[in-house]
Amino acid sequence: MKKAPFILFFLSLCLLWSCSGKHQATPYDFNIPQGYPKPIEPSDNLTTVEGVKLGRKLFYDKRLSRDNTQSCGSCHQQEHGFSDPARFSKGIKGQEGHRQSMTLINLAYNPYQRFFWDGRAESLEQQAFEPVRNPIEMDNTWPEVVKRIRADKEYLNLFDEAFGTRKIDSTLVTKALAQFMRTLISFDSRFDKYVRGELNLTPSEFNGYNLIQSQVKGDCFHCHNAEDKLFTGMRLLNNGLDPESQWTDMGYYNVTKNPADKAKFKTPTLRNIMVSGPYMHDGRFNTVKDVIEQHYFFGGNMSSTIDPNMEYVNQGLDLSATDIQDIITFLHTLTDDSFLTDPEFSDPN
Amino acid sequence: MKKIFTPVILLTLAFFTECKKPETKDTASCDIEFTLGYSKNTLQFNHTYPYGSGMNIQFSLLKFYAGNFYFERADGTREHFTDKYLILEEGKYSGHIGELKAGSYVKAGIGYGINQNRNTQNGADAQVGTDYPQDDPLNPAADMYWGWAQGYIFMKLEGRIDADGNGSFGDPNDILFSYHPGNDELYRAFEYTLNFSPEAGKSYTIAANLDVNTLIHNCDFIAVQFAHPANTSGNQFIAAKNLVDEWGNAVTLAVK
Repeated sequence: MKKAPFILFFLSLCLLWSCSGKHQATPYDFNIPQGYPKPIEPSDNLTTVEGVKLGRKLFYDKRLSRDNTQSCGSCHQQEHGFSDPARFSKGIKGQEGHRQSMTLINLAYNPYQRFFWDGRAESLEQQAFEPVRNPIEMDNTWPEVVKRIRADKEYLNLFDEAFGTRKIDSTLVTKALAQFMRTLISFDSRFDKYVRGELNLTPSEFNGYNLIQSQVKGDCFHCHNAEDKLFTGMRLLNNGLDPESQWTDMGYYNVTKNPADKAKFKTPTLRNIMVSGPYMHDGRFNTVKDVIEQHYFFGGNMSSTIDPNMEYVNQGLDLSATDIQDIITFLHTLTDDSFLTDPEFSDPN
Repeated sequence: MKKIFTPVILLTLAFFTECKKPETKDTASCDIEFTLGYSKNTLQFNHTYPYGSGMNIQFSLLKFYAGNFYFERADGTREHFTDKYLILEEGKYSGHIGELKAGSYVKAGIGYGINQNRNTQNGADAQVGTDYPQDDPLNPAADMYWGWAQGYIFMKLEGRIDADGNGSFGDPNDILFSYHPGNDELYRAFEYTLNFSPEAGKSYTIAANLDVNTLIHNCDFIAVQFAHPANTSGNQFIAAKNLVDEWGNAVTLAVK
């Protein structure tokens, strides 16, 4: 009997030892200001400091492309809200796509979990799979990418720290990329400082904000709602860009095959909008002024899938030149310089 | 030492025996599931239905708050689920009401919208929307909140009218409609007959059959296409009122 306590003690030690050996990454602190929404994370890929560090390195690693010339960051440039100033980004063969590079801003907030302009990816992890193997983007294969990464000793350590394994595969690569992308949070613009009571908006800025929120004037808020401070409802909608007879890109319909989804595209955020042009899914407008004056001012084109909240279709908005200027002045307040220059988001390589 | 061990073991045993006592539950789990119909058919979004004289209608969105549920016994006493809100929308027209005391009930009440106390328009219990968890029905992320009207949108009904009845909904003279009632004056609570005898420990689903044709019975989408009333007067308010007043007639309850 005297031996029993010693055996129990020894077993407890063994148990503690084995537990301490288990991988434990550091939870990432999103540091969200009070009154702002909390990020949505998948339970099987919670954001960690180590995962973000790894994802950031991968995001800027050109070895993901077949000829080692392009990284995610090539077409998603930080100073442009992680978008591309080119209308259509060029892939490694110089081929252009047919959609503008989407901004990567506040992606941690997406109750609908639809990514890409046409919503074809149902998670950030799923989204991250695609550019690598897209022939007009990185034109690589995942086995090749994994082979290159496995050959890099630094990556072996980073994967070990982030996921507790050196068995690298495409799933872990996309998980790390998704973790990094979820940290790209922009809540420190001039508008945010106004919300926090740190400064006042100018009369022109304030008027622009009211115009955006006004149903009888700008009527922007139905799709770019400001209430949760995200300036997008994140839904896939048809904003009446083209008449039905001129639809060429069917958007969400290509995913669902539901005719009611024809010409619907994901609503982008207005945050950092002034630095993330050109605009619309096909980048047809070079400036925000063009977007307002050449499209929304006229109310959009009636069609069988236009969003019912496009109240002024065929009528146009009641906006003066001063109103339009005030809206643009307000949109400048959504430019978040600290986000656009944050070294934590820049190329670590 | 042995003298100490014996009571300790007995106490430990007693503790575990206490823990193992089965809990006596006197409640039943209660869910609600709305089924949308249009006259005698199941409502399908973006499906064409006849409307008015020679016109057609399609609905693209119906999203609403239901809450402040209660169940009433024959003697008039009630079990309340005050401040419990659900958002019902396409893909999720059901939700959990709560644990209801076993017994016999003859009526049930449902509130449509956010009641005055909780609504940020004037409510004493109102709080900043973003203070609710991201997935809470009352967080603005649910896309049911107005900044400019200082309150929640109680329901959204959106769609389009084929005004010339030619089968196309994209002609220049076709009509879009969007009704977003959301004002304390437009909160509605209705009571329905429901003979319901939940037994303790069991789960039940209340089947709420919503006939959208009845709901829009008094709406004229040609005359008022957009009803997002911030005020309690004017055409938009009257149009929205005509819609929410029909919740009582449009819904019937049964136990599944």
